[in-house]
Amino acid sequence: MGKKYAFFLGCLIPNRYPGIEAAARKVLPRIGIELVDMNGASCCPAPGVVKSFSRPAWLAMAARNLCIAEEMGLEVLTFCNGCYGTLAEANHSLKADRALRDSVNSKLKEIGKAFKGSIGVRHLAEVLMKEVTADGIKKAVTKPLNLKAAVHYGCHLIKPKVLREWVGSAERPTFLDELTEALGAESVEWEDKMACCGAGGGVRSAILDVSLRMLNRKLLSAKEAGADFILNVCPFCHLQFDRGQIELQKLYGLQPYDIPVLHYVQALGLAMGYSPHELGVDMNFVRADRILEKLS
Amino acid sequence: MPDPQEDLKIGVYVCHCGKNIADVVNVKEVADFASKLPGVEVAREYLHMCDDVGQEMISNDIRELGINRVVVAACSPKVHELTFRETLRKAGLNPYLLEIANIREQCSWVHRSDPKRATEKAKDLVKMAVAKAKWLMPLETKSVEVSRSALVIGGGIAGIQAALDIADNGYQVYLVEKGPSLGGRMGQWSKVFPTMDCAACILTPKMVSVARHPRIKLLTNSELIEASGSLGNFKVRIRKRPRYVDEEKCTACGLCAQKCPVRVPNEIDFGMSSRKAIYITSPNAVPLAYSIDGENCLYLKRGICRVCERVCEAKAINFNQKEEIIELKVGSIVVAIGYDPFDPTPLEEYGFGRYKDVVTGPMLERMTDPMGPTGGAILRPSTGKPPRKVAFIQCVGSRDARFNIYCSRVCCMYAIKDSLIIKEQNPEAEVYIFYMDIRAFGKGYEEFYLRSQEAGVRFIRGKVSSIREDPKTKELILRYEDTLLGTALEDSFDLVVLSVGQVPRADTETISKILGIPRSTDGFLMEAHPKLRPNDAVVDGIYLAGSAQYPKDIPDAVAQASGAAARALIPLSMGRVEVEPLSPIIDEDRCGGCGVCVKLCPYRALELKRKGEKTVAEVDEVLCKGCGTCVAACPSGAAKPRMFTEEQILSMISSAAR
Amino acid sequence: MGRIDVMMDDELERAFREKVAKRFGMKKGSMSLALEEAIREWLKSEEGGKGPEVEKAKTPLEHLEEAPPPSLQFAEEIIRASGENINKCIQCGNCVASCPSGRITAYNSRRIIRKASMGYKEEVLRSIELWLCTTCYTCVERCPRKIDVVNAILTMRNMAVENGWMLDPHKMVSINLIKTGHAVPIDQVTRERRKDLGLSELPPTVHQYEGALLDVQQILKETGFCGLIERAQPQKAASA
Repeated sequence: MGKKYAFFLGCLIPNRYPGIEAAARKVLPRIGIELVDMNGASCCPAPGVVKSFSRPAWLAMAARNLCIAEEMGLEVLTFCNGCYGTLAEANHSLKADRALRDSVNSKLKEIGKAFKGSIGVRHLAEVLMKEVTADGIKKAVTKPLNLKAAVHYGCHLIKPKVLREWVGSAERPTFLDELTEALGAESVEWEDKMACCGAGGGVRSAILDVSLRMLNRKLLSAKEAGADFILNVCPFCHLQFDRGQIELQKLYGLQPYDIPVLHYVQALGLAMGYSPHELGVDMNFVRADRILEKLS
Repeated sequence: MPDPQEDLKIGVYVCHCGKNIADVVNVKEVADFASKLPGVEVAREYLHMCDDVGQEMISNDIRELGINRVVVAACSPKVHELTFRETLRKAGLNPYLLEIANIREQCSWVHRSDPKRATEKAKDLVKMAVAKAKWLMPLETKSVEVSRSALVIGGGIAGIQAALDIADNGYQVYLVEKGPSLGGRMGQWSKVFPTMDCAACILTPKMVSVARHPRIKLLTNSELIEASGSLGNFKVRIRKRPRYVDEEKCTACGLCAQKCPVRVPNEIDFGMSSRKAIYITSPNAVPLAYSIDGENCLYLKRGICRVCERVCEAKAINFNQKEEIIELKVGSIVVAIGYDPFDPTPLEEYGFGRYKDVVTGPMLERMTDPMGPTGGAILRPSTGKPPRKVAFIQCVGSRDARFNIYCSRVCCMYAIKDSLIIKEQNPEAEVYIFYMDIRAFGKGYEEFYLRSQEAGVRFIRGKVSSIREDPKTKELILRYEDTLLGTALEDSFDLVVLSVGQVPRADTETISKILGIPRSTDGFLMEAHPKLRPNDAVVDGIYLAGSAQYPKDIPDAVAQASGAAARALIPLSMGRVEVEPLSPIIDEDRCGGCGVCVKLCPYRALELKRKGEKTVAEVDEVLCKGCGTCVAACPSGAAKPRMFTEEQILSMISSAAR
Repeated sequence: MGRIDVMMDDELERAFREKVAKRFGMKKGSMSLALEEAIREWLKSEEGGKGPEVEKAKTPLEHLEEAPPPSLQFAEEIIRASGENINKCIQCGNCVASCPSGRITAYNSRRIIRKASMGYKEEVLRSIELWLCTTCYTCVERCPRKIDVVNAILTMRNMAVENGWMLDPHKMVSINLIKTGHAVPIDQVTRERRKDLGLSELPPTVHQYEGALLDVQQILKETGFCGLIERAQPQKAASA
């Protein structure tokens, strides 16, 4: 039995890309990560939208989610940069600021909860890097992905750096590249590697074309680097890269980039011999046929 | 012990200090309270006790009322203790019959929000001071002869100037330089702003003056390892590393270096070139002699080679030279250890260390030197060809809360200087300076800035956010906002210069510890007062010059060096210093010669000496700083302090407790 | 604000400028007004008469004859609400140069901080620029004054919403959040997919747990979120 974590689902994974959830549930126990459901968890809430509208509401909702994990006595494990950004920051603020904590607890009292500050929040990438390690991943891989991956860290995974000591460098991190190479893939150098995908901050929701213009730069750069697929650790980046490619075609009449998109757990699943279907890879907007052919 | 027969008449003087004390503490109330304390003959209050009127008040009372103990409730003794001691002395009273109650720094300044309780606290402080005053004893200072020589640490322009000024005044100077030659950072520059003088041309005459000066002993390859003592009487130990070359015999012909098989990165060129294990820092080096780097020499490390010795026609190589420890007694110490350039590697967004064509300002400087790695031509490291489009990025590692918040003062000017040199070498080259502010504050500096604009140097107000290399052209793409236009854009350059600032040298910490002189929060050596004593270290007798104290340009370094020299000359020219009665009295009857105090004294001021039949502890009043450790440790109570006696302290405590 | 630089025939330019001067006088901003009108007419004719809604073009602050003098109050409000002292900003522009949005739009975080610092409250809070930040935090990593720019932007967004200024799509997302506890609630297609993948049809979130959803709604009410959303006025999200 591996280490248990409180599995925080968020919105996009269960409600739009359930393949990522299925992949997680199947693959992770085999590398020593046990996922325990957080029953009744809600939206984290989304940092770009809810935090923009009302910080108190954002904090209280986040605190309620954290309480669920506290009651389970387990660390939160999330697979989404946005949820990580929200939960890690909320957890930190509530632990550090007494007055803030008291004020939030006075609202939580109404629903019979109290934030204690007893657990931590981890992103999958951190747990894989530190606990499972690249070597551990290598050992679990049976069908190495002989592909070129454009690794996309995203933003809230690594910034603000001051709250994320485990990251190392926020300008040139290496941990996700190492984890990707452990799958047998080659992590290519691509010009806009560290740039934002353009989805966050409420921009994709309300001003789609601006968000897609940012995405376009990333896709151009990935294409120029000869990437076979784009690897992410966040369902919002995943959505942006995946659905966004189709939107760029439809709204702007651009030629299709046709670059498949995989969340790390899906890539890991493929490398461990799971079928694309059970990992929900075939549920993407951009078909993954090209790379799946290369793999078989 | 004070004379129990003496009729004590205590005078208490409470100062308003303008509004500094009076705004918070009710001075009148405190004076009234003091007047009722037993033993207090008179209690007065006044606006500024330290001015003539205030001091007259005290003198008059001493003369006319027979006041024989004085309590001044005012600012910190660090500010005016000496002033009031002088007042007492002039009025005929022993200066040590003075006690100061600090009701400013330790009361009114820190309790601004609670005047009522601050007043009560002031009363308590006065009460305690009065209690102590009853136990004060008259004490004498001792006049001690000064060692009439000075130590200057650091052989850069500041150290050189200070050494020359002190020596020209007729006193002996020991100039200690860590490297094999004088010159420091200025010796690494080719041209200096705003005159575009050749640095070597103006520096070398000064270095030669030092070498020839009858009263300057130059110790190169040397460093300070220990220091003790106080103003006028310092004892220092210098470690002089062997050069392995006889300075008298060496003709600097360079044949040894030609034949030496060992190559290592050349620190003078910031790693852009290499030197041999036997080397000279420049053809203008003083002393003009080669030096063998003991860390890399094959003979010294592995016992093989010795080629240099074989080819040297002057027979100057001497592998038998040994390290020397030199002990000196000096009266003043000037610290001029200089700075290091900031290493921009942590600013990963700029790619220094990853992209060959991203260099630092100092590296570019070395390229402009005809004796430098490129023979004086500014070239792209990747291709060895002259650049066509150069970008300077200002404030790298300075004015940046992530690294050093301070401004390094020189970078705007050296970037402008280097941009003019680039234009001189290639008028067709495009040169851009990316700045947040242009600081051209000195004499001739604004004119120099104007000159560069007229020469076609372009200035863009915007801090560059990132640098990346174009994989195809290998040019460097800079992303920035032209804030004056409000447009964000990218542009490519074939050479990028990071204008890095000055940071304290790595060994500043060591010097600080050896000399006991503190550093400011920015890591540079701290001055005694930022406005009024910028050339003094916090410890008397030690002075600061050059960038060791704070980043500065050459004119300011020279000016400060002369200022520090003037300060350092005071004890030397006076010939004697007064030593305060800080040291304890050792009661030789009680002393058992156990030696515990000798082991514990942090200043090594105690020694066991044979006196007649007994061995007892003896204290060196010059080295002693009155810390009281021996007093506390002495098992037989033989060590008794003269200031802060047990009776004085206990009386303060009991009066506070009542 | 968008920006287009074009080369054109000298004669055409001259004729245009003449007409602009005749119609609008030599007022600052007259070229922009005229061009906007001309472009809208052209767009309308391209669409066959069904052009985008002709909104009264707002003149940005720069075009006013006299801008109001700076005031400190807005900055103080921001400092109080966010803990971020925006007056520390030395306008170096590193944030703009680091910004992914700023690269492709006229979004200029430096200018927003400057305007906020100088007290142009309404202009800042009503601007679309405020909503162009993706919160990528690159500016925060690089600011030499260590100002958390994202924190300041989010605080101003909160203030805008409090004043009822909110983009329509965001209002929709918020309504979803209040109704379902998810900003992105599940849809029919995904329910099927979940079953296909061997997962529970509804995830074990507030979707499955009624009580938890009521708790979330309670919190949203308590923190005033529901009230905020109700008060928000419809704002068109024009393309930037």
